Amino acid sequence: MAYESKVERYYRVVESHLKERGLWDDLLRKFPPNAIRSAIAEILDRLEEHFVDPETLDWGSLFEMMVDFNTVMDFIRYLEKEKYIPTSLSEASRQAVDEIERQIYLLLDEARHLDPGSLKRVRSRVASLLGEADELESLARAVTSLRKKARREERLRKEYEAKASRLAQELQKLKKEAEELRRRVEEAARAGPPALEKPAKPEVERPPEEEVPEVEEVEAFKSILGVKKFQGLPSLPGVEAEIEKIREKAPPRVRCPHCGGVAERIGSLLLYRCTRCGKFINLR
Amino acid sequence: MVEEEKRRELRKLEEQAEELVKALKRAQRQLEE
Repeated sequence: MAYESKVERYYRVVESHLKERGLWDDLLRKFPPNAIRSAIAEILDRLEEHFVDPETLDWGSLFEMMVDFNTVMDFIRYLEKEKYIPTSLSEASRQAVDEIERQIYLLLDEARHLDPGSLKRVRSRVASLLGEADELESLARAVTSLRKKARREERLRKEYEAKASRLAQELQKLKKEAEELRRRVEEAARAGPPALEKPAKPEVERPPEEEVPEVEEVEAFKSILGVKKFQGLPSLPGVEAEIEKIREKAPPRVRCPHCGGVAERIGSLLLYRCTRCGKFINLR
Repeated sequence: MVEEEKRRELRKLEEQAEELVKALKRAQRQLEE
């Protein structure tokens, strides 16, 4: 059976053609869509049996005639008779086998009147025919296998063709790009070397000078930090929590009120020691 | 005697004919696949 996607594709071709000609509704009144699809599938099967490309068929024109028939098979037989489509090989072989069978039994009936000597000769002839029939069977197997191989190769050929076509397009595109680049290079060469610009000296970003808070008067700085209001209070959890907050925001260095040097904070305490004079500054 | 031989030959011929028809049908089925 023809592939569904192929059937659908040619169904659209037929539909579009008949709609253009204003014949689609007439056909749908006579045949349901699936009957039209089965006609397409039958035609595709015939074409495939004979390795005929479906694209070579004028699907639209053929299906203009379908409305004149009462059944799908009537339509198919007409197309076959008028040689629009090839005959079905399997149908032809079925008919041939039926005919041979009929002939064999007719001959057998006639053989009843023969003498034993003639019957022996006939039997010898039939025996050789049987050998031929066996040979025919093995040939049929070979045909089936070759047909499968041919279908597979046909599919691969189409795939390779599509790939080759895509690659050719890519190649064309790349050639154009290469041509464009060559043109630009030639233009640039004609224009001469560009004047060398002195590269701008990158500005070295200097780190901003650290602002070290001045501690001129320790008591005043305690007020700024907010320590003063907790002085003298017992070491309650609430007080400690507030002191902790102050510790977090206290600066790492302060200007020494004694010598003007920089005093470094000792750990997380509110205690600093001047790096110049060595004096301690206690902000707690 | 002749009649007996004739019946025997005919029976063998019938068997052969059946074999022949079967072989043809097998070949035809093979083609349809």
